[in-house]
Amino acid sequence: MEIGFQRTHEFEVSKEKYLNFLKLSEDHNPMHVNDEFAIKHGFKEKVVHGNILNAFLSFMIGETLPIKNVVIIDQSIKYKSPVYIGMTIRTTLVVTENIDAVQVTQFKVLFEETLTQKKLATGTISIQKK
Amino acid sequence: MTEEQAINELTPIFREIFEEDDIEITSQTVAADIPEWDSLNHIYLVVAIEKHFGKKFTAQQIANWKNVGEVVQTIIEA
Repeated sequence: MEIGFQRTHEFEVSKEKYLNFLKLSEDHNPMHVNDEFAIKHGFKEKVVHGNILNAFLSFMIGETLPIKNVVIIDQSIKYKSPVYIGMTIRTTLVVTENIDAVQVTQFKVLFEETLTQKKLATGTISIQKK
Repeated sequence: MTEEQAINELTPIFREIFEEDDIEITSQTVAADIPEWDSLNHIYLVVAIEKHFGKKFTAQQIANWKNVGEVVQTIIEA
């Protein structure tokens, strides 16, 4: 994959996905399950777990790239804005560097709300070809 | 760049990758001297060294690394 190669996919944060992530993570912090609590702390309603974005990133690497024999070796996400149930999130990966000696490819990652184009999170991810 | 300069610049990279603040390296240091130096950390090390020194290595070059001295030679010659 050359530098600049990119992939984009849109994910709907449905109530079903939120509930599944709640079950998977076992994180029932009131910020994630209690509207009143979240509003009291500055959000418009309960906030979807930020780590659901990692699950979307897993799809981006596992399903959208032209090669399948890869593993994630490093990733980092900086959260900019909360995710709420019902949002559609456009996720974009762009290749920034290839370290050919160890078959590593690095990407920058952008998560934005499709409707408003608001930046939700940015990050980096590195994969290695096996 | 001299070998001493390269080792001085490599030392903080090794400390960060292997998460040991007191690692001291010499040209004779080998992977067996650093318990955390496994295959995955080796990849992180190569990535960090390439970025820090702004040089590109080949798979052949890194396959030949037997000790830190050979890493340094590759950096100097690249």
